Amino acid sequence: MSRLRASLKCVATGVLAVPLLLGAGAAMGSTQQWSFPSVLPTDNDGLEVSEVSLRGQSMLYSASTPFFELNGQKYEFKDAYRVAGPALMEADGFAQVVATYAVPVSEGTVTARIAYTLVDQADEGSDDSQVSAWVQFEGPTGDYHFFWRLDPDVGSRTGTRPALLDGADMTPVLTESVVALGDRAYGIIDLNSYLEGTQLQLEPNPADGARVYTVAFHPGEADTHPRDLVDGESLERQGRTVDFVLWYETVLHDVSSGLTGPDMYARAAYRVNALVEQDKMTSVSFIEDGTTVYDEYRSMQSGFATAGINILDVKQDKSNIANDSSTTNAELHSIMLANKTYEYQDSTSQWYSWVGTVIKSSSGMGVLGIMFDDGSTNTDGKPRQGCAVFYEAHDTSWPEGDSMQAELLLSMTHETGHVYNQHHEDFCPGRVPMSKFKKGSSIMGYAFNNTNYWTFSTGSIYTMSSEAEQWSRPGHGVDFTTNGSYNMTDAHASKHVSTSCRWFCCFNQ
Amino acid sequence: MVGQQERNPIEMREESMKAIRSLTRGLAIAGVLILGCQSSDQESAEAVRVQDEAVSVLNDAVAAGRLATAPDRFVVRDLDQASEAAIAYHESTKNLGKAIRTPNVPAYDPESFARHIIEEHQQVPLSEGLRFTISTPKTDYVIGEPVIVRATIENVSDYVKVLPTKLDPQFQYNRFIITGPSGRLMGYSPVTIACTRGNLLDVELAPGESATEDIPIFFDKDGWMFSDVGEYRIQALYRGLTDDAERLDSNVVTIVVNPGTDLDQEAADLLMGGNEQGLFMMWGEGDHLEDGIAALRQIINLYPDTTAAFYARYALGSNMSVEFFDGRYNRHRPPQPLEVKRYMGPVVQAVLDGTAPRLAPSMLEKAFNALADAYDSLGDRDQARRIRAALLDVQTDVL
Repeated sequence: MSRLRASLKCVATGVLAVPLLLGAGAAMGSTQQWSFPSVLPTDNDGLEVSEVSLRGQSMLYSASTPFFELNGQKYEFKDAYRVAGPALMEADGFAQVVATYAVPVSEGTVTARIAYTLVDQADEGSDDSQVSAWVQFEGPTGDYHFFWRLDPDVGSRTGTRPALLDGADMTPVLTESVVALGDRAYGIIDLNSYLEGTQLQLEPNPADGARVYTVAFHPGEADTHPRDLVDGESLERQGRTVDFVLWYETVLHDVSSGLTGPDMYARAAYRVNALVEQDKMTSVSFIEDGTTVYDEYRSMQSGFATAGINILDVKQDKSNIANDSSTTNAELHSIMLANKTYEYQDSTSQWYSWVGTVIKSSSGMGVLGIMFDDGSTNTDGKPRQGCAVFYEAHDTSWPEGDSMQAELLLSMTHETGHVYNQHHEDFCPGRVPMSKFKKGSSIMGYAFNNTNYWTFSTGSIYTMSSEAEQWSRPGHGVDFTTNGSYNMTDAHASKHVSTSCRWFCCFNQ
Repeated sequence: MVGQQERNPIEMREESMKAIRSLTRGLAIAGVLILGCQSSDQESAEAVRVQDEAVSVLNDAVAAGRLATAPDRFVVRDLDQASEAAIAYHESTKNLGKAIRTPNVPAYDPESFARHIIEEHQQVPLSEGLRFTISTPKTDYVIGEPVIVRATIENVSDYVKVLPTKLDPQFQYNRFIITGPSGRLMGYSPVTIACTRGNLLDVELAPGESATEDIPIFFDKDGWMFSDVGEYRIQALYRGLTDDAERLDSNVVTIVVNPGTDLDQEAADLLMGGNEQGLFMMWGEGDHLEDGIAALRQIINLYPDTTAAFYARYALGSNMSVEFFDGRYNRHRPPQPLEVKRYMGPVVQAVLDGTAPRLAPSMLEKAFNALADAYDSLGDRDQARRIRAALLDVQTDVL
C-alpha cells in the first residue's frame, strides 16, 4: 500500500509562480518529458489544459473540461462551481492536475473531480506515454453523457492527418466520422515523419460506452459541439491554427458515480534534444546547417528529425584550430580531445556530439569524412562521440545541380549518423525498393545529393527513436563495432541490407 | 493503488514545513527568492483536502484499470488562483518525467553476426579477372609482436578494372576474418570508419597492374587481436561495390603466436596492458597518447632485449620521425632527429645484425628511411647515404 509522504500548500501568484516551481522541479531531480505549461480555470469552460507536449513535441493544443448531459439536460463545469484545486501532483514520470467541482443539477448536486494525468511509460517496456482527461463523479442516479473536446497538435508542420486505426493497420485517410466501439482508434500522425506508429492515439474505452468524433474545423469557426465530418473534407493544417478536433463521448446508463474519460497514448516524434558542436581549422569555413539543393531544403536538423532526434543547434564553436594540410587519424583524435566542450557531454536531455571540420585526410582526396572515436580510441571514457569532415575533399565536381555546400552538409550528417551508431547497411530510405547503396539511398548510404533521400532508414529510425539509449547516444553507449561487426540489437540487425545488393534492396523495409 | 493516509494535522504541518525547507534549499541553490509561500494550520488542512481529492482520482483510476501504476510518492501543490486571470504558468512541468530509458533489448551476438557476414559475403558471386592475396612476412610470432598483413589486388584479366583499392578495413571494402586458437571466429573491427560517396574512391587498374597495402591488424577497436598463444588463420574478404569487383576472397594465411621467454611475456603484458600502446603502435604516432608512450618507454627500460622492446623503439622512433599536429597545443611538432636516432638506430642495427624479427616491407623502409632522414637533418649526409644503401641490400635479401 502506497502512502503519500509529502504535502505542501504554497500560494503563488502572478509571475512568482514560475521561479517557484522551477526550483521545485529541480529539487526533485526530474528530467524533461511531459509538459503542460498552461492550466486554465475559466468562467465558461472550467479547467482547461493547453499546449501539452511530450519531449518537446506538441501533442495537444488544448483539452477542455467536459460538459455533461444528465437525463438529457446539459450542464457545464463553470469556475463558479469549483470548490477545490486545481492542484498539481508531481513525481518522476508522473504529473496530474486535479480540481473539484460541485455542479447543481435538477436532481441535486454532481460532485466531480476533473483530472489531467500524464504518465511516462518509457521505463515499462513501452515507448508510449499516457495522457488522460478524466472525470470522477458522484451524483444522482441517471444517464450521464460526458463530452470532451480535444485539440490535437502534433507539430506545426503541414502534413498532419488524422487516421483511422484498425488493429495493426493504419489508414492515413479518414473515411468516417464516428468510430464504432471495438479495437479501432483514432491516431494523429505526422506524415513528415517516418516514425513508426502514431504520435497521438485515442482509443475509445468500451467500458465507458465511448465514441469518438473527428470534426473538421475551419479557422475562424466556433466549434462547441461535435458534428459530423464531411467525408473527403480537407483537413489541411494552416499554420498553428487547430483545424480539426476530436470529440470524445462517454455514455453511462443509470449510474450515480464513476470515473470516465479519454486515455490518449502519445509518442513524441523527438526522442531527445541534441547539440552538435562544430570546431574548424582556420582556413576552412564552418559547414552551414541548412541548404537548398534540388529545390529541397535540407539540414542536419531536418535529417535527424526523421529519426526522432531534435538537433537544437549545430553550434559553430571554435574556429581557431591551426591549419594542417593533411590530417591523420591520430591527429584528429588529438584535436577532438583538445577542443570538444566537456561541459555538454553528460547531459541526459541534450545529447552531445562533436564534428571537426578540417582540410584534408592523410588518406587522400576521395575520403570525405570519418568517424574516428570508437572503442579503443576512446581514451576519455566517451566512445563514439566525434567525427570529422574533410573540407577540401568536397571541392570537386558534383552531379549537375548539386553543390559543395550540400555535399559538405551530407557528409556532416552522415558522419554524425555513425556517431549515433548507424551504419552503411542502414542505407534503405524505407519503402523505396529500387534504392541502392550508391543511388537512391538514405543519409547513411553513398548516394550523392541528387538521389539521396534526406532521411534515415527504418532501422535507424527504430533504433534512434525507440531502442534503449545505449544503442545510439553518443559518448554514453556501446561501441560502434565489435568483433568485426556492428554493435547493435537483433531488431536493428534484421533491418540491415547488404551494401552490395543490386536490385530491390529495400523491398521489405 | 494509492492508499488513503491517516493524517495528523501536526504531522502534516511538519511535513509541509519540511517540504518548504527542502524547496527553499533547492531555490537557494538556484538563486531564487521565495515569496508567497505560506504555511498555517488552515492551509495545511487545505493541503490535506486537495491531496485527498487527487489521491481519490488516482485510486479510482487504478481500480478501473485506466492507470497501470501510480507513483508511491509525490508532491502536491495547490495551484488555486484567486486572480481573474487565473493562469498558473508553471514551467516546472516542462521538466517532468524520465528521459533516460533503461536498456531492455539484448545485444546481438557478435560472433554470430561475424558468421552472418561471411554467409552474406558468400552469396555474392565471385568476381573474375582479379587476384586477391594476403601474406605476412613470417609465420612465427612472439606474443605481443605486431602482425602486419600485406594485401594485394592484381588485375589478371585483359581489361581495365574499376574498383576501390583502399584495403585498410576502415574503408569497409575489405574485412579480415580471423580464427583464433580456440576456434573462435573473430572479425577485425577498425577503430575508425572512413567514408566516401558514389565512386570517388574507385580507380582504374590496368591489366597486370596491382594495388598493395600493408595493413596492421594486431590491434582493433576491441583491443589486441593476437593476445593468446597458438595458431591463427587469417582471411580477407573484399567487396568493392563495383561491377568489376563485387566480391574477392583472399587466400588463408596461418601464423603461430609463441610465448617467447619469460621476459618476452612480461614485456608483452605491459605492451598489451593498455589501449594507448596499441593505438600508438598502430597509428605510428600520437604525442597525446601519453600513457601509451610511457608504457613503451618502460618496456625499453625494463626489458631492453625483448621483442616487445624492439617494436617499442620502432614505434617511438616512427612517431618522432614525422611532423605531428598536436591538438593540445594547437600546433605542429616537427620531426625530432635526435630522438629518431635514439630509437631507430638500435632498430636498424638489429636488422643489419640479423637479430631483428623479420619485418613487413613497409616497416623496414620506414625504419631505414626515418633514420637516414634524421642523419640528413643532423648534417651527417654520409651516414644517411650509407643507411639508404643498406636498405637496398636488406630489401634485396628480403625479396
